[in-house]
Amino acid sequence: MTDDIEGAVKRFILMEFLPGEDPAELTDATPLITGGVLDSIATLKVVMFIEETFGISLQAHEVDSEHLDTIGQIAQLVRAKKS
Amino acid sequence: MANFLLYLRVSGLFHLIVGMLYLFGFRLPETHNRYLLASSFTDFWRRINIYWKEFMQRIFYYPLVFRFRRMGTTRAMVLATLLVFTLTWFLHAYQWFWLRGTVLLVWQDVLFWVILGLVVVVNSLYEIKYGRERSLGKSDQTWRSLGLLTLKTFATFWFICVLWSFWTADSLSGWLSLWSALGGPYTFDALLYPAIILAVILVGSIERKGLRNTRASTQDENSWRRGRLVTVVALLALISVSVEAVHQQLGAKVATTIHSLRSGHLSRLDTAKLERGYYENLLSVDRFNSQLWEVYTKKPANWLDVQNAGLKRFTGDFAQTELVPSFVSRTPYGTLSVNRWGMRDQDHERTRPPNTHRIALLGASSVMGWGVGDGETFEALVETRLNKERATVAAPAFEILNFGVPGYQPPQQLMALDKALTFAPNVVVYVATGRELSRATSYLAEVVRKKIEIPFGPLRDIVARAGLDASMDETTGLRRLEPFSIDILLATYQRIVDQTRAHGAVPVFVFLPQVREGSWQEETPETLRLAKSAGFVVIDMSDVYKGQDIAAIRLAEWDDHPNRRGHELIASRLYDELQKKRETIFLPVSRASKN
Repeated sequence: MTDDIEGAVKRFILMEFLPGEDPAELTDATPLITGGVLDSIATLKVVMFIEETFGISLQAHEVDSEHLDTIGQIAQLVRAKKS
Repeated sequence: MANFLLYLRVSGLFHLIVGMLYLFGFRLPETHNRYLLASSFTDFWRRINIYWKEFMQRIFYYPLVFRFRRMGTTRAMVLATLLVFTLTWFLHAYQWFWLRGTVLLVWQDVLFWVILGLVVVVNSLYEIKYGRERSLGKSDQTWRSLGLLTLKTFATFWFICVLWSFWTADSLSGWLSLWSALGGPYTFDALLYPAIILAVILVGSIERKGLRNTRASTQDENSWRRGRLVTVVALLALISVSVEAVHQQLGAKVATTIHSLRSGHLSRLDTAKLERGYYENLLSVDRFNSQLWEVYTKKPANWLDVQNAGLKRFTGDFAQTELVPSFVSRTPYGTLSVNRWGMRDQDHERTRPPNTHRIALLGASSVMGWGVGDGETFEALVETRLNKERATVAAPAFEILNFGVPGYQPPQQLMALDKALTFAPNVVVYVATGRELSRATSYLAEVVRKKIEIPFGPLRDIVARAGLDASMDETTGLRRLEPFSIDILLATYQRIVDQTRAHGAVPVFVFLPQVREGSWQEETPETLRLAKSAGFVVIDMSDVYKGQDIAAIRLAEWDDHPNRRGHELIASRLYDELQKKRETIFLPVSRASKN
């Protein structure tokens, strides 16, 4: 279950935004929003993905670098929403 | 392009602030991210004023997208983007109101944000559909990809420059007339700056390793050292070039450019606008100009400008305005009284008293005495002293009639002269305060545009030779007349001299500088030459304020009218100069002059 969330998010990000990049470069701690990988459009796409995939609902105030900057943080948010 | 550089100053200040706070342990996020290197409009929006972008994103954009997303996410994003730009425009206008107390509602402002919002929306739709290139580290950049990126960035840069020029334009016609420059000539200077920009963009587009905002502790040591080395070397190079002994070795042109970049003074354009504000009480300070803006934000909301004092009324003729006769106002500077003849002066009879030297004084607001009370103008002080220090009681008395009117440009003084001559002066003193050439030209362009009849033949002839007509906008009109600016001023001066002499009076030209040095001084030598050529007795008081503390002799930083101390200085100097040329100026009063 632990791998499922991180793995699913990682696969989505690689496929949607980083095609051709070395998957090993994208870790659970890679800064996505603050690192410039995800802009607002991409962040909203990530939000849509995790809402549809994990059956959760995010609030507008959760769409920021404090909650979605890394794959680890995204997974943590998903778990918190599901529990 | 100058507007881009103006914003560079603003963003530079932000970087300095963040840098200084970093020294104290506060690691704030970056405020701007090399917006010069934006390769698209969405990229530009993401890079410039990041704090503002983040604020709008958190407070408005995401909440709006979430609210509207039942319409579809793409529609929600488009709508949210448009609303964000609408709010950005509104909040900028509100900021103006908060600082200045007036509502900023100008079409250039509205259109700027509308156009920027629309291009960002279009760009966003493109990115939603096709995505954009991203990487986690240094990708394999080819010459082709570098070339394409450079071209996209170059195109984005120029579009933003054009949009910015539109935003800061005074009028649509003025902005449109800028495009005539595309017709050439394409000199080396004209092509140099775009070439420099292209080179900077090319170098800046070469990819660097690593993500943005990566902490030093997570960077590899070589990369960290390289980054710091580049910064230190660049700083040392900038510091070296800024040293006068160094940049003077690079040629006069480069040295002047570097010197002006280092200067904390207002730029030539800003100074011209501040001067124009001095002459015309320009209230629409450039909304985007940080330096001039800083001067005007210090101005209290209740500051009494000469143009808002209710002193003038419309005349419907070539002069357009005159002082309101029998007007009295209590200003913060003292009482301001206008006599029955429309002069800011004590009452005088139209007929010159016997055994009296009567001096008619022509000029603008400094001559009228804005900023000082009755009896404190340099005119009143000189008059008092001339009478007090007469050789004997039987010697001729002196009267100075103050025909100064705020905002009067040189051609308008021709109307003031006609009025002054009906008072049978022995001497007519014309006081010039700088920018005589450009102000005379712009006034003539203005009256043509307003279809005001020009009652002076030589000026009408010049207008005809310039091919100027009322249908032309301000910029075109000025461009047509500028080659004739010397003719315009000389014709004006010549008429003053000829009419004065025809009435048996002596024409005197006094050059009174502005309290602040500036680019207005460029016109002074030519102005003095024309005055001499026309036949004036010339008194050059260019150095009357030399050695004085500017702040001590002007009303305020945003109002360069001389204050009480300033008028005392002028009076003292003018008195001395009149005494030096006494034999030439004050002819025996027994010489008859026409009424």
